Amino acid sequence: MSDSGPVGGAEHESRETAGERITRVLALVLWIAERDGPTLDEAAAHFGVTEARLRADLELASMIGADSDDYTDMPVEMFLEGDRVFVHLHAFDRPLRLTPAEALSLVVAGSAVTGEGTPGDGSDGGSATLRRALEKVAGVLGLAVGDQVDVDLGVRDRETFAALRAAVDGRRAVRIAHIGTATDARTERVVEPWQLFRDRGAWYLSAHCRSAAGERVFRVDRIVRAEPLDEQVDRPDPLPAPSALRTPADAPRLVVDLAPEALWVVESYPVEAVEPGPDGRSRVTLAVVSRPWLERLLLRLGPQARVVRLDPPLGPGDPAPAAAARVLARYGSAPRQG
Amino acid sequence: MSTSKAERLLTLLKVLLDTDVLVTASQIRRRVPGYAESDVAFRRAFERDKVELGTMLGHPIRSAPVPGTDPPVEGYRIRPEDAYLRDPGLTPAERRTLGVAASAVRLAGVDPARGTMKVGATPGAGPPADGAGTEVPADARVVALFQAVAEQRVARFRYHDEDREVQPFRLRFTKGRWYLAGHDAARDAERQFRVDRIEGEVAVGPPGAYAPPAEVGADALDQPWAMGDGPARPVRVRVDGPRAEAARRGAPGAEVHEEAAGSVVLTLEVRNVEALRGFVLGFGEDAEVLDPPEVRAEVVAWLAALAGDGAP
Repeated sequence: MSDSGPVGGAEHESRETAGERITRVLALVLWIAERDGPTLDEAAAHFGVTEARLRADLELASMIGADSDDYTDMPVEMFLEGDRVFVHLHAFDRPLRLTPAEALSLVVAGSAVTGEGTPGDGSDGGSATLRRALEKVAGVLGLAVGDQVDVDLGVRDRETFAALRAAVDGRRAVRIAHIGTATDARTERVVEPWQLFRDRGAWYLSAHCRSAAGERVFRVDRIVRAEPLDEQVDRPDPLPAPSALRTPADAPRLVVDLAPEALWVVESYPVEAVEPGPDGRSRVTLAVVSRPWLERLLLRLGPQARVVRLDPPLGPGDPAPAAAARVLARYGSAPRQG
Repeated sequence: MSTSKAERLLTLLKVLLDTDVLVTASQIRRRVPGYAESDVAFRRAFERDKVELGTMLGHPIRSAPVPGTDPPVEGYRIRPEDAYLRDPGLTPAERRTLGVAASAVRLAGVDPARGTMKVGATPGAGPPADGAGTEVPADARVVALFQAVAEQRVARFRYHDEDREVQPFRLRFTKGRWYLAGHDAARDAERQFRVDRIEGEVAVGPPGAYAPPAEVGADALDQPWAMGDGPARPVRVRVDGPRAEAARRGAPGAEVHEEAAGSVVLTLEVRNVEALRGFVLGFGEDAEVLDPPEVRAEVVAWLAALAGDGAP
């Protein structure tokens, strides 16, 4: 950590450590040295700093070695000509090595080969460029991206994602084929897309669904096909806050005591409240999408879940025993032959 | 003042780089301006500066005895190959694209500008205004394992109450979590680890400690039933037509046999029967474990306990 005080300037710079500043100063003089006299404006904009900060950085660089008896040649020669700046380097003429954290941040960024955040129209142009950039950076690091480090941002199918991104950006209706979370059934529908967002490791599309005549949120990795239509559509302004796990207001509620090993439920489903329960369990209130969904959840949880209370639309009492009996019937004697 | 500290560090870096021989602390003190008068204060500041330069460069600044000194005097230098990055040679378009991507997809706790600046990409762009930005979680364990994978360093950490020594092959981020695949020395076999379940810190050894495997096989991360320390055994599961597509997507590594009725039989390599049970019961009465008999019996016992008096 730095033992220095704040360096002043913009707010984000006031938390800068000496090491961070040096990294920028060296990148800055290298960038200028590689160019034929960029303007101070250009350099400041490129590095996202004020011109005053840029001048202070350049001054610092040109001071290296100035007080030393042994070092008459100063590594950074800098001069200004009008508003243009020239740098000649006798050392520091290559970028500093990447730290592991910096290298990983580049690999992670380079793995965004999805069209999202890439310049251009979301077509594959940006992705191909980014992939080449990632390969070059990985080459310097001696790393096989994909084999040794693989960052999966939950997109699953890049083409589908790019089509959805294009529909959102172009405000066009899109026809999607989707495998429902509650039913596992494949359905086709036309939606008016609002936004793509990430939540808990997965991508989601929020949209007005014409079949349901209301807002729906779809997990992108369960959308198997997306085909933008030519029809322009509106979207609400402002958009509702994106949350995949926003509790549907009208959904019935389940109160259940979960054992510690079943707490993955809290990370995965729309949970309204988590309180301490009896026997070291957690008392969790869940919004229930449908009764079949609830049955399957309870089948998976078994004794790790104890139903405390169930809203009336979900039927009387704990649905798990009857559901278990139905599945058990399938196991009746020998496996069914296909 | 930070300016003088930054200047001191830069000069120190220059002195340590610009030498073919080891430089002693007293030489450093003479050549680098800005150190305090007192010996104790100099030592303290110099130690801190070494740590800070080491952090910047991603590896510690080490000392070695200066040849010919007796008693031995410690000296320091930084080799250029330890300080500088080989130029990745990005084109302007690649620099721009990588810079924008680094703003859109960030690693938690790391300023994206730090890496992009070093490879000459364009820093400074903020996260996209539409909220499409993504932050990938990371902590010191993830960064240490990344370094271990990239540089073939042995990683040591505690997992499931055991001390592990692992040659890491592959670090993977999926479904919001980091996973490590590697060769577990005690088990002499490949294993998967969930990084957020590693207890405490990850220690890494020196680089180049093992040869990376020529080919890293498909791993078990998409299939929780394949994760675990036990032996793998094939389990066959039938899933009926309505849920067959969802099941195939849920088990991308499975061997699939399509049946005339529209159902599928998936053959899964299972180490973790509980995870398999969760997968199968997630399809309700549309799926059943066919064999082996002991796995089928486990699922039946689970269901019977749950059904209670309602059991047929």
